[in-house]
Amino acid sequence: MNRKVRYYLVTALAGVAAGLLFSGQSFILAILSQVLVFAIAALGLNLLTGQAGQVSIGNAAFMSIGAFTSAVLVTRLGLPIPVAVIAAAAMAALFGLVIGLPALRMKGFYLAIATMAFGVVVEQLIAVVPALGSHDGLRDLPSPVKGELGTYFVNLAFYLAAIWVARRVVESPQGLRWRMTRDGEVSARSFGVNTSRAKLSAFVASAAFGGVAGALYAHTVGYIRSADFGLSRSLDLLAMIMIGGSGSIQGGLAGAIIIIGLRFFFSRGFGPWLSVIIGGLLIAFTLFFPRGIAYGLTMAWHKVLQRPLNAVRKRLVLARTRKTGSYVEAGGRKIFWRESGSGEPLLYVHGNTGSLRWFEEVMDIPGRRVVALDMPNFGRSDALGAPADIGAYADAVAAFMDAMGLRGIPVVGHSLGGAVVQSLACKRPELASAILLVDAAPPSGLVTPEERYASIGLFRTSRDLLAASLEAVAPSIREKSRLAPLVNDALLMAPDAFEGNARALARFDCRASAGAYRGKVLVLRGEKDSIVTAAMAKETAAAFPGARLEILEGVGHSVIVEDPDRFIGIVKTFLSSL
Amino acid sequence: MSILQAILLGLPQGALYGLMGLGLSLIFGTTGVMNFAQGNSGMLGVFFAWSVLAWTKSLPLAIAAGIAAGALLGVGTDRILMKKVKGLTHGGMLIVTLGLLMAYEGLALIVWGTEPLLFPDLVTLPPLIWTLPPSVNPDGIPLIVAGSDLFILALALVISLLFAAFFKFTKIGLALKARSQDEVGARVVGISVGAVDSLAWGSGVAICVVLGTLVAPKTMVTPGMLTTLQLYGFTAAVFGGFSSLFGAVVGGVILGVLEKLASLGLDALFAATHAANVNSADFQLSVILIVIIATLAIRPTGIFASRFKGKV
Repeated sequence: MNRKVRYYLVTALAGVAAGLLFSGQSFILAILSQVLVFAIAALGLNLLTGQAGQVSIGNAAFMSIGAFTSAVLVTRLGLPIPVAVIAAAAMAALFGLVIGLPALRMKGFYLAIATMAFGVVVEQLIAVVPALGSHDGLRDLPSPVKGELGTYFVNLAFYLAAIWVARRVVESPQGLRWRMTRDGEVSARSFGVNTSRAKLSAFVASAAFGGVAGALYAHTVGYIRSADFGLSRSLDLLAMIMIGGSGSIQGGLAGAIIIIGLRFFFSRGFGPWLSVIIGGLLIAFTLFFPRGIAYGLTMAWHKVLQRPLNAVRKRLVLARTRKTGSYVEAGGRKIFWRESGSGEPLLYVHGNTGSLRWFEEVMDIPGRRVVALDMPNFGRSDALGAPADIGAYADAVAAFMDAMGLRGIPVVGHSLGGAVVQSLACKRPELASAILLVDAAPPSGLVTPEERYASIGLFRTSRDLLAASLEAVAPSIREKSRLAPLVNDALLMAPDAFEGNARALARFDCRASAGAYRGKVLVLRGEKDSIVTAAMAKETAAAFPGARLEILEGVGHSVIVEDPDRFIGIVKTFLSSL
Repeated sequence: MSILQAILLGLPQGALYGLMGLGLSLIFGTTGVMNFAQGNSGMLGVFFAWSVLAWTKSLPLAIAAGIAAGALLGVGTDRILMKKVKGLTHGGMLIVTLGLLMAYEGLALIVWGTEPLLFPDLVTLPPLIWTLPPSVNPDGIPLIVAGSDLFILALALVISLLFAAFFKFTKIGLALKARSQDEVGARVVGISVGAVDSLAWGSGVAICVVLGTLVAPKTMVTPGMLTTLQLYGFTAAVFGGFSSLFGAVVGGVILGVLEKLASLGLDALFAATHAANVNSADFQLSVILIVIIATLAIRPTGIFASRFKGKV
């Protein structure tokens, strides 16, 4: 299943389940409804503060504007509630423009003061308008549907719509412009970002979300007062995003659960403690856990929560694929291999996090016996039993070829496998009569920047991140589901090899002996390859005397899965030129 | 009410705003942290003074204790929290002080309860009544200044002058100025930045306690007693350009006068439009806050900033 679809589906199911679980208890449903309403408002603030970096302590004013707009439209003009909610968003957005324009000239603390002033002005001015009930506010506002459960589901629907819209915006170029403005205004401008427009749009978007939340609040609670949306509410919203996770989409929900939950929990006589606790949480999260609960949950998902599922998946994959090939004893290990067709042999060596299944669609070369293997540490073969090393992998491939009686044949290597094949050609040139290097690591090695190792460590425990990284190395693939079996095979890799392979590639160096290889060498590089650069491919081609470089337009790091037919054509041409 | 009387009422009110602005600017100008918990820190000091007063029955002792407690709170905030905040963004620092604002409010409620507490006037002076000659003031109504207002005005003046002298003539004042202009440079010439920061925090909060005891007889001692005043203090400091201490005091005074005049104008406007049931007091704060937003938008560095060379 698509990860994005799963994201919304899980949220929706959790929401529905919570609603049904408490369907008999209207008090808890009322709390849950408020949690959702404030989560929408917090999401709005998170776009402004978390994404665009503009701290606002007056965002409850947008809720107030939305609440009163919708209340008046519904009770005086008799508009249907959904229309009134949209009108409330528009009205709040207008006010977002009103405060957003002067705010363009301010930064940091000054902006905070101005937004605080804006919040107080809105609170005070609404409280003196008799048509809005002055200080007493408006009562007996209609709810969208009868019953607490129905109201809860309406709020849930709006919440889902809100996170959908927010995620679309955050992942769009607009979201990128917001984050660039947040992280460095001068550099954002030098990249051509109109920071004024970015800030203004963040204010308007934030206000619109606040307006929707306010309108929903009015029809959920049924009673609104200007004082309900004062400074302390704005601070609540800020606490929600700081606790939940600044800049995240659903962090506001986590924050809202805690803040609103605490509010109800402390409603019976412990009121003052609530301020102390929320204030303390605000300080503690800012100082010690500035990325909030959302970040904590995300990391838990990648580090721990996927493990059981992955363990089951590994067993299933092993059980299903063990029968698709055979094992051979080579170099003291059991090596898994497959073949297809008959004729002169040809060997495929896969890359990092790979397996022979990467070659599934290129196994049929007319007139050839095509052999592919899982190297030790990968797929269904035994572990290497030593720290990962390119030379050791090459020895294992050589042992496999000896065991299989393969000698003097063309060998194809992809990525890390390309490095292994280079090493093989240098150590045992008699085994490989010619080599084809597909987006291979260069003979001087491929250094992974040290800071990347933290995320490489996560691949071990997170199938999601593996899938995302495989999608990135096969950029031209439209149907991501085609990659699923490859992701599953990546899970089979030896745990220590995730970091080990990267270190091995950094150590790899066969420049001294490459010049002695006499066989023909074809170096392929996908134009969109984000790992092997054009300079690396040129270096590889220059290191081998008999080498030729070919650039493949429109594909990335993995032509073998991105465009198998084209790859077969290239292999055929290469083989016929030998 | 005449315009002159409005100005006379505005001056002491403005002096209070100026004192709040002074404390805020002192901390912000020196350490670069805008203390959103300033009003509530002062409030805690006043509550403490109230408790000491209830215990010892001595007003001077109570006020001295309140000021000392405020100074201690300021220094403690700096030592315990602000050292950690240093590397954070403006947003991060802001949120920490907002957290303090909430925590202090709850703390006051927990310790002292929700009932507003009475606080006596510091001094009782007779009001000053000033009858102007008819050529200046044709309607013959004399101008009145309350005794406590005169005291506030005088005290504000004295505190500002003390700080002015302190900054001008003492080495510590020079050290504060140096630290506010360049932290690393100040360290290089041997200034203990930590001590200077603590001094700014301590005296900044102490000023706020003084201010709190001045307004306490009118507002009574409640957790929210200085919240609105803090907004005015921000406005005063914004007027003055935050980094200039006297700008804040002058800004506060202008603000006070402006507020009374605006209120006068609004009353005239409502009378002219027969909106009799509308009270200008409801709009006072809004007018001021719109001024703050406009000032920030038009001159983010403050109106007087350019007159004072450098910071502090």
